[in-house]
Amino acid sequence: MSSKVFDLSFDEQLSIKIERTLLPFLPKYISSSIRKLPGLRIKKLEEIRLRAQSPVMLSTGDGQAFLGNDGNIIFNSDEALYITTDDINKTLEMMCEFSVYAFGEDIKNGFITLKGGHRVGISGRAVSDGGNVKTIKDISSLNIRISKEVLGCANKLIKFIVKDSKSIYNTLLISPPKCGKTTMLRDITRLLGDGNKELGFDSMKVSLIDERSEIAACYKGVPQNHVGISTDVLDGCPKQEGMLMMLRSMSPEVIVTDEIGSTGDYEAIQNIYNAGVSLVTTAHGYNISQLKSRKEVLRLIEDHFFDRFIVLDNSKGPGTVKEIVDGCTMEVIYKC
Amino acid sequence: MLVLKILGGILIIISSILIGLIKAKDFEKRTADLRDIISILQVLETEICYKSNILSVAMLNCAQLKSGSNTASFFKRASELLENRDMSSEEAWHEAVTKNIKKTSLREEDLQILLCLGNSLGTSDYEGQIKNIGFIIKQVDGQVAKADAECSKYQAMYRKLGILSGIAVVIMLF
Repeated sequence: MSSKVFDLSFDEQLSIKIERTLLPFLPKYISSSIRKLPGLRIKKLEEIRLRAQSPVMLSTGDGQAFLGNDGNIIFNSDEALYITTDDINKTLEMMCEFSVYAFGEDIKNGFITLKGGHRVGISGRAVSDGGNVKTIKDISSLNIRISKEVLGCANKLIKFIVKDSKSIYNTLLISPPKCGKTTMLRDITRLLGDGNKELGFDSMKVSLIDERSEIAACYKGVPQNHVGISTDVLDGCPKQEGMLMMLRSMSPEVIVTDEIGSTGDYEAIQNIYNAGVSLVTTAHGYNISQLKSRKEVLRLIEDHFFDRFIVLDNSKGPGTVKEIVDGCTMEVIYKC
Repeated sequence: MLVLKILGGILIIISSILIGLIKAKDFEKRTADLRDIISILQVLETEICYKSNILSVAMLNCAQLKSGSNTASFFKRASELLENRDMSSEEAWHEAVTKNIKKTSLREEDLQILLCLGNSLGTSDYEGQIKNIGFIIKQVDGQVAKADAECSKYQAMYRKLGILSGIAVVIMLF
């Protein structure tokens, strides 16, 4: 198995996706400049940051730079494209499809998801009421994280997760931010949902709880990413409640969800465990020992809920598998 | 000659009766249009607040639900404009209403109320949307009451006026 599990190579798909699902929302002067970016830049593009009265910033794997007038990358802020406060507001309104009410909860949480799965982080002045954030006003920054679907990136990883043709190990993907955790989880979901004769397992009934709409990236209820033919998606639902709902309603064989570790997750996962349903999930972290400092995750590790820990990092590009550990014996099965 | 005169007279009377009837019908149509607006706005409120549909979808659903009504054209057009993403929700609503108002029997005062709907259409939370739509419904309700009163007052008058003016013209010609 090659250590680099997937390659974010530039393909036509990505630029078409950006053209269709992202550029229509941006002010004309910015979208036309992004259109002129060379293919290699688009391939590496991870974030587009818009800040009121500031230059448009592009964040790639290599670092940050400003967007110039003609699709060029510059490092001198004087020549960069600037965006006005007004245009930031217009952009957000358009991203909300002129329906701010429908995105109220999302804005409260600080991000919205676009058709195509791109996630837009929002910052500005929070309006709070009794300690809870009611909404964000005077929007000053938008951070657009470009969604990259890499079909087949988990092909080589899946054999460590699948137990036999009909069942899988409870798996926890551990990775720091921006190392392809969600991308990997998405492809695992797709593989399990579709089944794969060559890799030796059948299609399973998968329930995907997509709290932040990042995995399936549902738009009007339809997944925009490939998550498998026998996958049911519960979009935008809080994880714990969602896991129990799907357990009751969809009789899944596998439950997939993202980013566990908050209070209450333990009980929800215990329910899944008791019902004999397998779980594939992720957690933020650099390695297993670091994860143990988080109480909720520590309990899960100590109680041997997980059979497989897969640690990702960025050492050979996003999605590098650092190590795979057996959850019962804590033996390293695979090491980069 | 006399036959022609009588025929002409009858034609004049018939046409003036028709004009009177059409005028009288206009009052009825306006109340009907206003009532349609109210029921569409109620649907819109449901679409927005309970189904949580985005504005363009909500408006399209409203238009389809009341496709028989003249006023559905406002919502259909606004939905199309929003889909194009060229203008804000307020601009789209203004354009849709002002361009289609001639297809209905609504008047300038009704138009002004409808335009108010655009002010915070889609740009606030659910509470704000309910308040905004509720406010417009209330105002349109007021217009319905006024239109009803006008209808009962002037409808009979226009009908009679049609017949009488026809007869008057004929008598003068003879």
